[in-house]
Amino acid sequence: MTNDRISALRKAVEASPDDVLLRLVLAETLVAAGETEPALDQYVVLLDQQGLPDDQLVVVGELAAANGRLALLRSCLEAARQAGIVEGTGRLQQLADELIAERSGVKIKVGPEEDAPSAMDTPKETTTFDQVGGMDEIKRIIHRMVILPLSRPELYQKYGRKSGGGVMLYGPPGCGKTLLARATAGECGLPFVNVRIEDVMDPYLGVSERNLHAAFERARANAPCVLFLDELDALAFARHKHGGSESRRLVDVLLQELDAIGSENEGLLVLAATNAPWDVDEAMLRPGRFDRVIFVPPPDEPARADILSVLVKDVPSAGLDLQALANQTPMFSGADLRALVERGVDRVIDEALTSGGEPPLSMQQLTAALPTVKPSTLDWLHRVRSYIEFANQSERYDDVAAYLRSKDIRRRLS
Amino acid sequence: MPDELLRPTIGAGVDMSARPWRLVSQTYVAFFGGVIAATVIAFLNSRRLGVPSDRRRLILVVGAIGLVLAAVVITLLADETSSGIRVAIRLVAVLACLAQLRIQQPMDRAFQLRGSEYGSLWGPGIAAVIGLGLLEALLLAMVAAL
Amino acid sequence: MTEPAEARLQLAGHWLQIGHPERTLDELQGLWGDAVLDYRAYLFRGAALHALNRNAEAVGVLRDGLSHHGPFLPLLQVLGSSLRAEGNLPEAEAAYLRGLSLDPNDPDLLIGYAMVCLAAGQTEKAAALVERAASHAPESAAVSAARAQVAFAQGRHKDMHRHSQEALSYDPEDPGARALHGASSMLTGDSKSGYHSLASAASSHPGDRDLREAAREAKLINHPLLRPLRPLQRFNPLVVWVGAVAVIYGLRLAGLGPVAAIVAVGWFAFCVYSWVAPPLVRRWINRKWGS
Repeated sequence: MTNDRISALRKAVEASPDDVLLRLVLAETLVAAGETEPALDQYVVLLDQQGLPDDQLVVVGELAAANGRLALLRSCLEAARQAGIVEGTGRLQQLADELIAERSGVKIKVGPEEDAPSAMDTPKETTTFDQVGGMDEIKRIIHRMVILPLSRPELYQKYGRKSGGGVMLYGPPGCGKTLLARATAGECGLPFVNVRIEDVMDPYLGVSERNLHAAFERARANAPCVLFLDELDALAFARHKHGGSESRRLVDVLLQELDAIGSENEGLLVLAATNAPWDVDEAMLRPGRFDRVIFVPPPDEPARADILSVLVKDVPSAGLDLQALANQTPMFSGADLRALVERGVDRVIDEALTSGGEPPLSMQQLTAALPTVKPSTLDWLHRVRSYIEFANQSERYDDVAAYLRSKDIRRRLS
Repeated sequence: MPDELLRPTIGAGVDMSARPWRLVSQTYVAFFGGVIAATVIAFLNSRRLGVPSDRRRLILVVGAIGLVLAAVVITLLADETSSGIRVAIRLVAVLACLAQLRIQQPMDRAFQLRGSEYGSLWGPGIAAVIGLGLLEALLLAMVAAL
Repeated sequence: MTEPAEARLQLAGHWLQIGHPERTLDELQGLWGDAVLDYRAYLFRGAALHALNRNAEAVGVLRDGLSHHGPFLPLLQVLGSSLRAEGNLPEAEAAYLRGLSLDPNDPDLLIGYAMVCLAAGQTEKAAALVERAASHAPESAAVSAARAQVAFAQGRHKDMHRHSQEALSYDPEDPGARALHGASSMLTGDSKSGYHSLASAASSHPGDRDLREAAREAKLINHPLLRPLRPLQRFNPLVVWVGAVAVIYGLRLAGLGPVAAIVAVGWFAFCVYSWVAPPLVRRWINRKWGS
């Protein structure tokens, strides 16, 4: 008799495919009759038509998981999240992870349930400020805003504040933000945990968020330590950049992790770097998250001389006056200086090929190559000037505003 | 099922390197230079903007009408004060210019949607005002003398 | 497809979506084997090149993709947009029509085609296309923004303002909608909110020179010293002149000679002020920011 009922329902559904109620009854009848596969097919269509009621989403999801229908399970999970359902989504996520794991053979880090990574994993960072040439001003600022507070946690506790927290470094690309972050960790004598965006992003649904969480857990296990997020604007991009609800989840996870820092982790210092502070979500910069924002300017003359010395270390050279060269390359970033040395080496190789000898790199080739390399920092400075001209930012970007107002920079930018 | 809307109708592309002049700047040419100057500048600009040829011809027609109207005005008002005559002729030029700007508007707006840079009308504008303005003054004086 | 290749493709797509097209190209460089022929590789590379304004290369890549995968709507969409950016309107039209022959009601294709028609000055056709798109995707920011652009092209400023407000209501953060709203506010005389919107759009896209200039102009017009010049902003200066002439001569004809003379002097002073004041105030406002 049930079969008659089922075939009658099927005919009715075929006659009016848009009637979700009818299809729902068909699906339920199929489930009751034990024909789960066809029932799941109907549920797929129902989800498409958005005809599946909210209280059914978790049940259907679990049924899909039991039958190995990963796509349907994911859709149910997505719909449940969007409907704001709290109970059961965790379980669905877990089921999804298990399915993925057995399909791809990839083990997914689950987080706190695993053994905490041993504290011996990450050794203390050895680079210190002495090894970073020049940039005295910025080192002073970092010392005042980052290192000093860490060394006197009891002072902060006295006034009811948590030490640690987040610091964002921003500036033109290739100016040593990562190196400075590393050196800061070294100065504090802390391990340096570098989280790159390639390590976090994963094509499967939900895995990126878990990777990010795992990275934070790893850092917490090694606390006190420095956690470094490179390219913050790629992880925590502003709302206007990508309106889709799916990738916003990564931003939400990052916000949660940062908020957890205050309560769960003493002494976890989160540093971040970005080339595009205007693309970082506003919520990231609220108090308690990345509330300290430091501008890293293009390297000054001593820094440039230092960078040049590192660049020409392995190149046979003669009579190079790096100080003079540093003097002639204002506003050059580290990447620009590398390009300069490359162009110089190109000329040397040309000469070697034509003349037959093996001449060393000399000042002549480098100064000849100078006009061909334009500093890439100027474009960035134009952008940031536009940004602070029109954004409502109060004192947050005061340091870069003062930098832009200095006569030297104003002259160069016009 | 033939769909009227989805038939190809676009004949020519646009020259992305052209630098037309702002419509507002052309108003100065009309104000100081008269009908002929305004018409020439409008015609040249419509070429730069890529206005279709039938509408370009319309610009010339409007200019011709404006010139005739100016001649009519100067004969009718032969006994008015010279400043009154000047204002009347300027009025004709302004009205003709407004019509010519209207013709250029769609392509000018299309140019603005592209977000490219305008060119400067200073050079051609002053040349038109002086050269063609004098020409027009001479023509109208001859008409008035008749 | 292997997992690393899939991960690379997804990461490339992610970079594209958050506005880092150069990183997209970097990721795609590392593809090998079957992955290179995946339609997404062509689509992302073409879209990234288009975003970087390397439109000739984008067109080549997308045509390649179409020859491999046949008429695929997203590829045709980006191809049409790239051809339009190059100024090659007939071929842009052909690309969109090819896509529309497969799905005559796809809103994105219809809107893209409408933009091509606007670029060619065919505003009525563009309006009809946008209306057809609206009938299939009524509550979308893209449709409202397209309507606003059509209204702009036709000189209907009030309609442009209304549509840009709709677009903003669907997506308040979208800088494109903000820019349209700012422009339409300026054109309808509401310069305060016009500046607010243009400033917001300019700070979201700090590299865009046009937005910065527009925002600066709006700030200029809002300056109290330039408030008397507002009529010149809203109406064509020639129309204002005609009005002034009409008033002056009307007064003369009505026998109020002295009043007419006073008005004439005032008008002259107004003209001088409109010439002299803006550059000075502009220099004053931008003294902190340079050019």
